Amino acid sequence: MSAFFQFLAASASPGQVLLALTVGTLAGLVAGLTPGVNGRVGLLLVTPLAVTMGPVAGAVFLVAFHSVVHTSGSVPAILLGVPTSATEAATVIDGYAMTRKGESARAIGATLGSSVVGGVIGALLLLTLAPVALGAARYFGAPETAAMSLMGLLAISALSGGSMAGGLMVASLGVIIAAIGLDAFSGYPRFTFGTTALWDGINPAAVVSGLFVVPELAVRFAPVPRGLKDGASLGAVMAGFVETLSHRWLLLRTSLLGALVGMAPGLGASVAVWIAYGHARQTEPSVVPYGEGAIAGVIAPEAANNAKEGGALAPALFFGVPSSSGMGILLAAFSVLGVEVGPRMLDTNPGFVYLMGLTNIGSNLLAAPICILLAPAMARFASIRGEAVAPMALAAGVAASLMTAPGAETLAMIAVFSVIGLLLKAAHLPRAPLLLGFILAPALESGVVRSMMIQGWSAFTRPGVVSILLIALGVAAYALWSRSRPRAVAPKAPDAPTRWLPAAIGLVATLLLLAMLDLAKAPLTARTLPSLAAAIGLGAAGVCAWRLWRGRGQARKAFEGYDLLVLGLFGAMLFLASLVDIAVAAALFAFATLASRAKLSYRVAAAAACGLGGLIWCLERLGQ
Amino acid sequence: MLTRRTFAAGALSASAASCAPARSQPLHILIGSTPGAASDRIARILARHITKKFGQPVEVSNEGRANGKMAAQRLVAAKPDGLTIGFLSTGLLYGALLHDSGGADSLDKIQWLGSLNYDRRVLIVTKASGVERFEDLIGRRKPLILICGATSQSSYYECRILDHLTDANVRIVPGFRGGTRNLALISGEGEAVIGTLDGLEPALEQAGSKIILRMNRLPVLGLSAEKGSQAPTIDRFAKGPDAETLIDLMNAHAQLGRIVGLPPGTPPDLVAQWRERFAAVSADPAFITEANAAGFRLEPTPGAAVNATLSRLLSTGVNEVGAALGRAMACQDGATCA
Repeated sequence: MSAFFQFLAASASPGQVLLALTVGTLAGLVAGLTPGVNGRVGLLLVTPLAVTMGPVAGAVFLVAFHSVVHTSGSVPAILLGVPTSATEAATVIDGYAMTRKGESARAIGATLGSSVVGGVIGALLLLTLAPVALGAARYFGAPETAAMSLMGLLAISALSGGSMAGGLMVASLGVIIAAIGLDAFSGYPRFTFGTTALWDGINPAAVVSGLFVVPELAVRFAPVPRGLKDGASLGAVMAGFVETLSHRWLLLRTSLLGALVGMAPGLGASVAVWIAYGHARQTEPSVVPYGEGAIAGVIAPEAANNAKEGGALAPALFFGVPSSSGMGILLAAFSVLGVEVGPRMLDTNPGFVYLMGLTNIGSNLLAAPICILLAPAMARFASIRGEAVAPMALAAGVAASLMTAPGAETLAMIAVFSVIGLLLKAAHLPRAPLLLGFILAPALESGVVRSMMIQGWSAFTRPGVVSILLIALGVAAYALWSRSRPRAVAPKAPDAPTRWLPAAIGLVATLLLLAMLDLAKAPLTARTLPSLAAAIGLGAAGVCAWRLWRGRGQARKAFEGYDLLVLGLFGAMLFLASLVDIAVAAALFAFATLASRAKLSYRVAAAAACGLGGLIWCLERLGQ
Repeated sequence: MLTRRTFAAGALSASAASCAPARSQPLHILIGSTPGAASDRIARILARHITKKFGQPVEVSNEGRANGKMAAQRLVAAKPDGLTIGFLSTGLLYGALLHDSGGADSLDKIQWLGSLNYDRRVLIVTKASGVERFEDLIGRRKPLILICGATSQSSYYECRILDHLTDANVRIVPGFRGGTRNLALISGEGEAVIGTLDGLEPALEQAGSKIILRMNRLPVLGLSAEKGSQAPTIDRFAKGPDAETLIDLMNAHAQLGRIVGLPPGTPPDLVAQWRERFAAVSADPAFITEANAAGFRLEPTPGAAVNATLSRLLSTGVNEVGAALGRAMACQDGATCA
């Protein structure tokens, strides 16, 4: 630590550093709350400001900014049920369920508490690793990445909501969707339909929008209870904050998981949160069933999300190598500031590493009181009528997806995944396993193929791989054992089949079959994992179909139904956005739905629509 | 009563009030890489200096999908009115020679303004590999694990060319993008890598890592002899009928570096005007200072020279260069290729 104080004394005044920490934290929280401005885009926006602060204060500002951008990022998603990325989608499953029960303040409190603890644990791991970084790096390569991904996939059963066959079937579809694009090892174009736009695969934001945002917001709002059971008071936020500490072992485990995933190259926040969420569902008992507002379902992904930042800083600072695109931008910004990172820094300037670790801790600790004070006001959003919020949130979700990858292709992807999402929800099939397969399959595939090419089968006997797989098996066994005990994890009752189930099974099975046939001519590296997934998925679809046939005499539940007018207008908005700017299309959509469904006066609807359009227009240009 | 006209006017005024006013005739710079990548950084510096020098507002957008091919497609389809400039990577050249999809084979039709810097590409080995010089790879019993980029990236093409032209015993492992290549070397998974000198700096900083081969004839600047500044070029070890053609291709690729152009069909007067502007910004001391501070060594090439090089390579592509590259790509590990 003496190196830290010597460095600080020589480089910048404590006042400058504290100011940079505070401004960076505030800017990060604002960026997190802004739809479409994630860590990457946010860093691009604030780098010019950092340059004016000088190297050390500028670096502190950027790290503080990036450390807390996820802390506030999940809040709008929890309140509106609108995740704009795969990272937020895990938190939203139980977070939005809490909001719908009127517990939004408690959910936000839990989000903040777990974010702070996760962020601090991630930073402590960073500081601990500093002296042994190079040695540690040798124990984490492609085989360990594959093992971690496999561990995450074992959570499918926990995410399947009582229908393992249904969960496996949709998870297989997720693996197939993830396979779309050029195979990195052979260059074989998988399901690209001859278009370059699909070479890099499917935009995750479009998948999340289609699977979660559209089906949740296109339902008729009358039967959905909204309100504020917990009153959105500071006390309720604090209660949620403190409640996280009663899950201290889950916090510790998922924080460590998040930090480890952060260090791994090619994995990212979305992988970290889904592994953590699956882990919580497998291991943490909950009185409230998962998916219906279990607080552990909020704590686990949020802790992992913030802990990932400390983990990801390790390879960036120690080796000068980014493990994610966000860290790539951070390193580029460091370069602009004239800050040199890399292996030599550990010898020549260890104080800088300590400063960055402490900045990570400081910004998380600073973010907590700020967010707690603002949380009651934010939680009151949840009391706004669903009919009024839904169109604005739907338009914001589409705009956020478009900001990550502008173009008609993204709109087409949102349309396709909306159809899949609407059908799966109407059929009462779980959607989270699809996202899990989509997020984890690329890391599993590249990890396995690289391991086989470099080390052969011996890769899977490495101590790290064996340890991770043993832990994964232990967790799975514990989950099975705990379910058989009374007072263990509260099981979610399987959803009754609806009239849409045969159509959903038919669609997924057809897609899997077509994929399998198409893969027959692909090279070995390009076909192995997706073909295996398609075969498993088809088997699971067969089981689902058999169960359906066996229970054919039973009455099937009618789905409460979507608001067809909203869906029609939404489709029109997507079409219009492909012809003109999304800001105009979103404003027109918001005006039409607010006037027709929320029954707002034309003037109020027009004002709200113009505000939304103007905001989207500005956000589109902010990134330029 | 709210009419459509009042609604449209309201929408417009709200947008105008909540954000900066619309500006006339902005220049749109289309960057063929993701935000934060080296090309993105230098392109944004260039954008700032265009505005500073000529007072023209600039809008920047990234289109890094399909390794920059989508950006090339968009540039080719853009209106040739002098208001769109593409900042592309010459990695597209290899794909264009093989006639892959993506519209990148219109590279020779784009009106190039010039290139900002050279792309020094080298083969780096780690200390753990035990390899001291390139000759150690010839006749080596155990293949050297050579980490390469995804199959549409320059790094992968050059890995295949190395394998095709020399007797080095290497096992090509593709699919590593960006920082993952460096991490694979640091963690010991990979033993060697081909890439740009700038991009591989973190790997080269590791104790014992060194350059053992230059993939083109450009000198390695700013490094000690211990780190391989005097490493031989591939010419010394290349053999077979495709050697001359493919070495020429790699040299051209390296000298083109980061290329900037206007859409095909841009009127000659606009092309001439923009070439002058590009040359003026490239020579501006303020731009050079900022680029150097961000780690870029500027070595500009005029637009006419870029057009001439690309026309030469692509016009003979079907019969000579493309065919030779095609043979290199068909060459698999361990097979007799030459």
